[in-house]
Amino acid sequence: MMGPASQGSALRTRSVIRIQDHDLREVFAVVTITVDKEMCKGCNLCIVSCPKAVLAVSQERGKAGFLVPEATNPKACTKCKNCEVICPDFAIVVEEG
Amino acid sequence: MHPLAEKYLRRRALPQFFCPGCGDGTIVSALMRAIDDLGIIDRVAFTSGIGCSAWIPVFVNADIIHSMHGRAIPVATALKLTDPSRKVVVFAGDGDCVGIGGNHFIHAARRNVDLTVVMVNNAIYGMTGGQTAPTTPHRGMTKTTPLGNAEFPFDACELAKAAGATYVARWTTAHPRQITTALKEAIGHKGFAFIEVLSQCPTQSGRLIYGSGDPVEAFKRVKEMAVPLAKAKGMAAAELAGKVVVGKLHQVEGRPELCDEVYALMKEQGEGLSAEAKLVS
Repeated sequence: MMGPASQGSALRTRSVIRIQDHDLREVFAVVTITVDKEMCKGCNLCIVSCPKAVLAVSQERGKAGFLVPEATNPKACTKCKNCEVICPDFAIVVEEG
Repeated sequence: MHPLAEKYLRRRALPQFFCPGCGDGTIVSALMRAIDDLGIIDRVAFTSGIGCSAWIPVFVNADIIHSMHGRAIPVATALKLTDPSRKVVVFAGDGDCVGIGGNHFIHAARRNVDLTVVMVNNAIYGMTGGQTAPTTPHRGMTKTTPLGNAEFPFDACELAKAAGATYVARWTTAHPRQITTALKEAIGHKGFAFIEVLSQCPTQSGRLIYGSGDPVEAFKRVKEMAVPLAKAKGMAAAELAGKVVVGKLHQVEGRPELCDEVYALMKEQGEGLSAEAKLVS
């Protein structure tokens, strides 16, 4: 797992989750959660809509001056994309890989 | 940037001007998902009136008409009649749709024009500073009712149903995936489709009516207010007080649609028509 790293205007968190499927074959699922600091207005709706408490408020400020969220617990992410669809500002992208 | 934003939104208009935590942004996102799934960005047109929610289509890189306050539905009806192949989606706020444009709304439902009307209900006139709207709850405190609202709110879905709308659904901004599904159904539906979306407005209704400007609290309130249709059928009237029933509330197929009727009449009695009208029919 890689920790959160600032890349330009986005706060990117990448994590590798190990899932054991019914064949007991190891499958690697990789999830990347990107928070766009230029678009985010710090409303925290993504944090309350996450069922697994993946996101939390960070200490970094976005372009609008609000504290942006970051993925502090990305291993728990199930890629349900609740944060992505609830985000009013197109600021979060959850990607496989 | 989000791939949908990159594909469909006007880059110069971003970030959206909505307040932090406004439900309108979630509706833009749900709309973009619906348009992307249907693949109709070239064949869709949006009209809107005045208000925060009237800005929802402005961010989309598509054909839009931003019209006068309350007059989005007549403009959309004219657009639909001149080009029936267009999918026309109207965005209106609660004041725009059942307040100032209330008469246009019931008559469009009566005529069964093939439109999709999305009413974003934040229970207050948000953009103009927090005045009482026809959807403000009873005893709700606003800028124009400092003692509390003496009036009772409209149920816009019941109004649409009674006026003759053929598709009626209600969701909240806590149900973004359901809004996408409802939009897809409504755009595909032949006839007047009405979707009410209950939205949080932390800045105006949050602060004035409910006493907190926190977006998270406003969002949770909207979420807790919603009761699914199947669950509401087994609940007593007293239990449903202060709650809102969400789901697909009404759908009828087969009622004659206005454009079809007009063009059929033009075909039947086409002798006196001009060359252009004959060409269209």
